[in-house]
Amino acid sequence: MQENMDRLQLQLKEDIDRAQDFQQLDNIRVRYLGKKGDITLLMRNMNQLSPEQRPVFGKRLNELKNTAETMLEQRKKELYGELSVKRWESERVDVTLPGKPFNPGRKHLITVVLQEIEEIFTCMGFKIAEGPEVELDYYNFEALNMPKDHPARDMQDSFYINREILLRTHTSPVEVRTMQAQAPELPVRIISPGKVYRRDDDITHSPMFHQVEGLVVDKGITLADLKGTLLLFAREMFGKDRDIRLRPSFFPFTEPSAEVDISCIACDGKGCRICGGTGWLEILGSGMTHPRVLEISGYNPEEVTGYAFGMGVERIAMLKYGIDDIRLFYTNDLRMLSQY
Amino acid sequence: MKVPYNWLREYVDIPYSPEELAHRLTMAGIEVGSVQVFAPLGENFVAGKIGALSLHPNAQNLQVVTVNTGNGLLNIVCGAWNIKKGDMVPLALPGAVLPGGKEIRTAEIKGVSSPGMLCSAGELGLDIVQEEEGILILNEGCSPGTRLTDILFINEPVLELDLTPNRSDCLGLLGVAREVAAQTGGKIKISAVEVEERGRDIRELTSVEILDPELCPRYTARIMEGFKIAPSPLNMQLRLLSVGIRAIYNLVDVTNYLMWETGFPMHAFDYDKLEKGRIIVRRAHPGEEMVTLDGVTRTLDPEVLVIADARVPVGLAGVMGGEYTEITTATTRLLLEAACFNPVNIRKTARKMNLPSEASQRYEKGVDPEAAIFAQNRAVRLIQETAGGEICRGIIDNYPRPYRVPRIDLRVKKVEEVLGYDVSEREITGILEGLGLEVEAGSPPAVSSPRSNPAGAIYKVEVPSFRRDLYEEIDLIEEIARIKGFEKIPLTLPVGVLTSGRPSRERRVLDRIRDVLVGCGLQEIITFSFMNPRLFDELDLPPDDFRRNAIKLQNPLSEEQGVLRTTQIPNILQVMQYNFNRQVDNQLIFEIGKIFLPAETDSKLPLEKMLVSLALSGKMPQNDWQNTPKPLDYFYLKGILEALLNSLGIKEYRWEAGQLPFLHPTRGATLVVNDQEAGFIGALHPAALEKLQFRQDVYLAELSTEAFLNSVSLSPSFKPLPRYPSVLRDVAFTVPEKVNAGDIMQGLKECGGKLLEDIRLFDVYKGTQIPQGHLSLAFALTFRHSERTLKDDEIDEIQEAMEQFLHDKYAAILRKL
Ligand SMILES: [Zn+2]
Repeated sequence: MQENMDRLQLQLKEDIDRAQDFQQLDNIRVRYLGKKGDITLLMRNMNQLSPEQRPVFGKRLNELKNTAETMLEQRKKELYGELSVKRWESERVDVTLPGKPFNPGRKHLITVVLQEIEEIFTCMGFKIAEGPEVELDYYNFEALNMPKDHPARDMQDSFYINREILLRTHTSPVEVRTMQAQAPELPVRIISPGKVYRRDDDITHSPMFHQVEGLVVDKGITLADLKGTLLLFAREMFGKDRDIRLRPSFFPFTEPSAEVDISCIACDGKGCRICGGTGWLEILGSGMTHPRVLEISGYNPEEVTGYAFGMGVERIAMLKYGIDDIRLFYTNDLRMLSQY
Repeated sequence: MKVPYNWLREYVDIPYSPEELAHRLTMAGIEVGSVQVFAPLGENFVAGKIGALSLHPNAQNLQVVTVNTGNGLLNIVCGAWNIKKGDMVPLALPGAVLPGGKEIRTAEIKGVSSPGMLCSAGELGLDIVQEEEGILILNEGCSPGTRLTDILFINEPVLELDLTPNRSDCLGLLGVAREVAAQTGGKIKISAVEVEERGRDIRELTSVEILDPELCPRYTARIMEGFKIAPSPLNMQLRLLSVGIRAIYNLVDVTNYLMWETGFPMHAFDYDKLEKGRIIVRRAHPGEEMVTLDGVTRTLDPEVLVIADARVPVGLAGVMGGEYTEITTATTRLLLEAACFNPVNIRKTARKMNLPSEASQRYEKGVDPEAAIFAQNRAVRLIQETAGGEICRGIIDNYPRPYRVPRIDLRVKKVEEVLGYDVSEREITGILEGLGLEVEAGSPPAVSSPRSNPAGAIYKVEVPSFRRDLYEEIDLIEEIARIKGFEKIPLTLPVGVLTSGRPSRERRVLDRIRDVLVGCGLQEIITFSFMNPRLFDELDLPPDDFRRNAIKLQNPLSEEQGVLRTTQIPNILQVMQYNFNRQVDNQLIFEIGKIFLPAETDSKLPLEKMLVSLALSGKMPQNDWQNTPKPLDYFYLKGILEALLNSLGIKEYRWEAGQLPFLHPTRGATLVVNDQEAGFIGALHPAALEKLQFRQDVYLAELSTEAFLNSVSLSPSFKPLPRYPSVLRDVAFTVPEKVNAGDIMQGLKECGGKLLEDIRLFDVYKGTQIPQGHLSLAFALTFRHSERTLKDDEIDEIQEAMEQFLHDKYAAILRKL
């Protein structure tokens, strides 16, 4: 028996040394330690031994089993070292080959900019208000203090469907509609984004473009509040170093009215080609809501005041992304759109 | 409006450089678009006095002129013959650069050295009128050697104003001067004009009758005689030229000069051509004709206001004079008109006749009625100075609708309420008075209600006629802020109750749609809301299709933008065409936008519907070194729509085969969501492909969000995770080719009931192993019970029911796998 075991151990060592891969090694394990393996069988046959022999033999057998496991483990480690070098070599990939192409689509640049503007204002508590793109003359002009034959109508050459219906030339009619629906409740705090239409077509004008207008009506709203709001917007949109300046201007639906410039994003106000040397870039129009507009919309101008502003989204996008022809937005050249 | 800096200085002192003036005006709301120098001229141009003239020894067509340069005499070779001894002429000395870029050097001309050149107006870049061609003759008043830029009104910085429509007062230099004065506290330098009248009384010569005072609130006339028609003095011509007006001759030039100075357009008639010497301001008779100054015969209607003599119209009021009564060199007496007309009427006439002019532009915005007499007197004086002649005694002033000075209450408290900062009472009166307004401290409010009458002083403010844009309190508040300077406004933020800025559900749905489509690899595009109605024909849209009933624009920019779109497909196809032409072969695009459908009546607004439209063409994006690219197809697009519907939480929908607009007759389907048609999907019709010259298939889908908006669930409720295992079964059926896979799946679903968790079609086979005219559909079925483990025989039972049902209904036979 003892002899048997010694032989077995020798045999085992020989076999293990000869094993060239994990599979062979595993076969050896099965052959010796598996359910029907040699060592297992010896252990199973222990009960045939006399009670005196059993402890001695059992101890020896346990040693043998432990030795076998150690040797297998040892050899496995050796093999691992030998084999892995070959294996890694055979499993090499060229990590510089291109990855699988995933072409995520993109939003149109105007959508990107529009959503950014919307986000800035909605985070300030402005609600988004919407309205029809084909509008009544009344909402587009009359309710905004531009009666028929008002010369200011020339500022916005319009597309007409018939005498009373036209494509809206700005999103201001949405402000009137919102106020009329809400009056006399306070506050009104909205932006109205959307498409607008004017009969113009050149490098800086497109017959269709996008606007975001804003309106706040409440007790005690002032021109200073407008300036503060716009500075906040300019810095969110164009960076925290921006300055703004207000220049007096004229819009029929606001008074006082102001054009708003930001310090040039290209030269930081020093003066360059983009800002025409002035150091300033015009980005929007604004003003205090005209008392008559408040009145038409159901608010008492003696009790409340309001401010309003409006910007062209394309203009903002052109400034921010350095695009010099507005028509590029509607050519929909996929080579351009996929850049953003 | 062009404002020559030095011309403006005749009316007001300007303590600023042209650039600084431009900046200050801009910051006060008078936007200066640019400052450009009129007739820039460099160094080495001086006035020279002609001395002796002699023929060139070697050339018949040249002469040699001795010129006194103030610094000695020079012999200059000259080819012009309009000069004589004693004339003062422009001399370009060596080193001078002509406006064309040519540099003057001492030149040898046919053997005679010429250290300089005598210049014509053209050589100096000046487009002026002269009695004789040739060298420009200067005023004798100057001395030899004076620099030309010191004599002539050239090198003049000209400010180009971009005026807002309310500031028509700045359409005259005097208005701009007042604006400057308001800022500097300066005074206007020009005052009333004295006129020396002589000869006959104007009332013996003419009468003015206004038949429609609404259209003509004031008409003034003067008559002059004995003048000499000739080119205007050089500097007057240059002034006009610097604002873009070409001089003609003195009488006309004076009226233009006056218009620029006062903003008041004037017109001169040949008095002797006026029937009975009379003026009647009236509406034209229907069909009445008149030849205007430009030689065009115009047919008039009663909407047009005319200036007529006793018989016929002699001018379109405020727009253009008539040819017959035009001033000519033969004119000996003139009637000068300074009148006010209704701005709207002038605008309509100018539009209708397509005759925009400097004059009509001013009338359209309204001219200062109180300035008429001043303009008349300035004009006749200037005519006298430039053309001589006598001014007949008296002036006709027909003024049926006199200007009423508005008195505005200005509450000091309101100023602060609007602007958000304190302006002192002294500052307020100072600013308003500086603008020429009369400010008078008013009485405190009789009834003092805290709301309608904020406490504080109230001023009564009177507005002069030249600022007719100011007529209510808010106008004055704006003036105060404007002159004080917007840069003084503090920065504050509105305070008040919190409001939520969260987007509406519909907007969030649209955002979700956009995000999903972008995630599926589609590029968003935005096309115009207009379209070309001819594309309906190109795309063979049936004549009765509702999309053909598109709303027409009355005044489109072009036929291609003639109607409002009723579908986004045609515009999208144009975008594809554009990109195909630029070698972009793989296109996966979508647009989210509105279409417009006519309302029942014209007085109602059209219906606006939001559409989501998709288009694909080219190869699948799975195009790399491991995969051969496959062409995009119907199922790729359908998969995107299914992903979209899935992420919108829409479960109840089906696809119905059918013949659809734009689409291949057997490759199109209608999407039905909750039994409502929601849109279509399919391959573009091959005939359309051909017309558009597309070389590859295009797949299209267009959905109306309205149809499924209510079915969207943006935040579905939690479904507990399964606690018992599922059982998977693969089954395949041989079915006749005509049977739709969708019907088979529907059958499986019905038979599977609640236990059938999922069906996936994983193979469609057609070939030798199955009978002709049939195909094999293989499905992976997932069964699960939510409360216990399923037993095999339960599933066997369901599967048998499926087999039976599909066999009976579709002659489908279960295949042994
Ligand atoms: Zn710059």
